[in-house]
Amino acid sequence: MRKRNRTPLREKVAEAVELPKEIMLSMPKITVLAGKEATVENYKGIIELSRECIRLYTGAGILCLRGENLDIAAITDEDIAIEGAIGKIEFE
Amino acid sequence: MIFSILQYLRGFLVLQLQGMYIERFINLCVRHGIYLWNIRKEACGRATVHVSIPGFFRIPEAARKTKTKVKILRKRGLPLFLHRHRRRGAFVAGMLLFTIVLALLTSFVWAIEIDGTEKMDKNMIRNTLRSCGLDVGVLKYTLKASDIQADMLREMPELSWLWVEVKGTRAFVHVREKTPVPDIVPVGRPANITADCDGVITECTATRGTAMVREGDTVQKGTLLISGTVETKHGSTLLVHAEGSVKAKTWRTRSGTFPLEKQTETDRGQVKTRYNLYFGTWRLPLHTGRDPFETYRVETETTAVKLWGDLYLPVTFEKQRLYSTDVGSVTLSPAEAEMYYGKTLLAEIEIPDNGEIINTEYTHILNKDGTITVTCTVECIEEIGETREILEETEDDGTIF
Repeated sequence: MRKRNRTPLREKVAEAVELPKEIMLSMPKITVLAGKEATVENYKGIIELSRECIRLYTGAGILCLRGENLDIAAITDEDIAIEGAIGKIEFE
Repeated sequence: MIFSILQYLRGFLVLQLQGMYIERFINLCVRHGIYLWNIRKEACGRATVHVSIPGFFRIPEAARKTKTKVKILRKRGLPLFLHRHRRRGAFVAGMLLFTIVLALLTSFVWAIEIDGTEKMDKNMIRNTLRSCGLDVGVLKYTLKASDIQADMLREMPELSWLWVEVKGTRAFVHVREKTPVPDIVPVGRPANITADCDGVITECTATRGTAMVREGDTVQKGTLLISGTVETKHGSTLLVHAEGSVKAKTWRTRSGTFPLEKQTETDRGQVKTRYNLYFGTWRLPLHTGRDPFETYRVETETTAVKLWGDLYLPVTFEKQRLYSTDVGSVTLSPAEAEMYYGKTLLAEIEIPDNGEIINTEYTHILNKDGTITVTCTVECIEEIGETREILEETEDDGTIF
């Protein structure tokens, strides 16, 4: 019961303070550019890395990017930029 | 682009990783603040990554923990390049020297361009700029536009505004001239209207004051045309600000002596192009130096040599087009010469804005030595009135405004 209530309250605070939600809630923010580039902000770690699939651990679960010739163009402890032909983005 | 230049200046390594836990290796590196980029996974648990030099020295810990083998594939960037060639002193010194010379050459002002002048002489401005510290060959970092502006405006009161802009190796000086304030007598102050040049009056209308001349009168410069002194019915005099229009016929003449024989040059249709390089005033010809034609006409086109947009070097490239010509001479008849030279004289005569040319006359005198003296006379009708304040000390009583 407690867990259920906590998230809406946090969201409410985030909205009230007008802070970007992804920072307040540590949720991933995914920006995709024409299926060629994707940036994930607030990721937590890499789970799987291959040319066809990149799986990331995020605050909203596991994020899986599928495609072809995927590379990590740049990576920091908060953001990750992926390049390649991105076909699918899904949460598992 | 900027990112890659920065990376090149800092230097980086391309590594090949091999191991079962590459993802963990990357996570660990990122957590330790080691910056990685261009991570490419390859088959058989291999991957290539780019890493900065300081980052590379912190990698071993992560590699040991995740049992990843690290191999250096390539070393890139300026610091590593210099390190590789550290024993080839002359080579590295040459490279550094080149960079230093280039940086030095591009840190001087090599050309000064002045724009915005109307009547003032650019050379005069150039000389004054020199005394204010802006000259060809001055270090551009020592220039302070606001100081030069203040000095220049103090030195040259004819200027109303000036700004110095250094673009690359060229200094642009933008200038605005002051428009001289016309000597206007304020309306209400007693004034006369006098002639500002010689002429014959064609029209004289006084709207205020007493007309002193009539149509047909010959006047000289300074003759009183409309007087500001008015006599009243009662015999007393009043001083007024004279107003009115005085038109007169004026003559302007100009003469010159010219030879009757006129040089002509006709193109024969052959063209040769040749090039020169100028280092300052020193010329480097990029051709044999022989004249291709006996007589020719030259058209030159110069371009300043520059680097990356605005960095002009003190080198100019000159393209010369030589047109072969036939030189001949034509003897003009006196009448032809009169027309031909008369036209050029006419162009030199200044006609005031309000003047209207009513007649142009050419006359000539043949001289003994085969030359001709042509005189051009322009007759125009123009406004010749000039308002002059009456300066005598008078009592203000009775003045009509």
